[in-house]
Amino acid sequence: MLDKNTLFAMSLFPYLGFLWFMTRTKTTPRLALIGFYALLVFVAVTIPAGLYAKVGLGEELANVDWLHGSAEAFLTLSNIFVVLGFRQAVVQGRAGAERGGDRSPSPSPAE
Amino acid sequence: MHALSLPTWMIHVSSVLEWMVAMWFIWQFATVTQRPVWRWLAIGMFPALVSAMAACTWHLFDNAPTLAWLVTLQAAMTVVGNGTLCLAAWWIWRQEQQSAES
Repeated sequence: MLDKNTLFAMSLFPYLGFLWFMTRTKTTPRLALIGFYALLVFVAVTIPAGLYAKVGLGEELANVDWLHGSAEAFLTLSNIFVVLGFRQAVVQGRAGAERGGDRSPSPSPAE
Repeated sequence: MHALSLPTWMIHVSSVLEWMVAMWFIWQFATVTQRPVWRWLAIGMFPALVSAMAACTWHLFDNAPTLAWLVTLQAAMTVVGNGTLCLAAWWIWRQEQQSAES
């Protein structure tokens, strides 16, 4: 049976693949990309926080409120950048379309 | 629901709401930029919401040890969700390679 820690560790690999492709896609909004990378900070903070809760305090991280909330705040921060990045791209795209000059006349790909 | 203080709850709730808002803006982004392939990213972000709900439900029940399976579910859905993110990003990248070539 796979335990939660193994699963969380495993989940990092597809996320790195996700970052790899998003970075190489030219149309990814820059601020959103920063947000996706910032999630790695959340991961990096959660690991020592979890260890300290377990080894230092003998508790689950979720039961040490200040540590739990502080670590989770990094996820909130990461998501803020993702939202702002895509929001900005939508606003700019709409402004561009209104000027009449659609700067991205890509043929809609067959899906 | 007192295992988490109010500020910690607020941080959790805002993370989840932001993720949903991000999905919404990505959908708009696909429309505005006429790149419908980006809709796959919004769809691929869905399993992470299930993961978040599992975690929040566990917190709602004061992190009950008998409900530890919810954390396992959260972890499993994180693997699935990051996999769907990776697939969506790969598909977007591939489509843009092809439209650049043609």
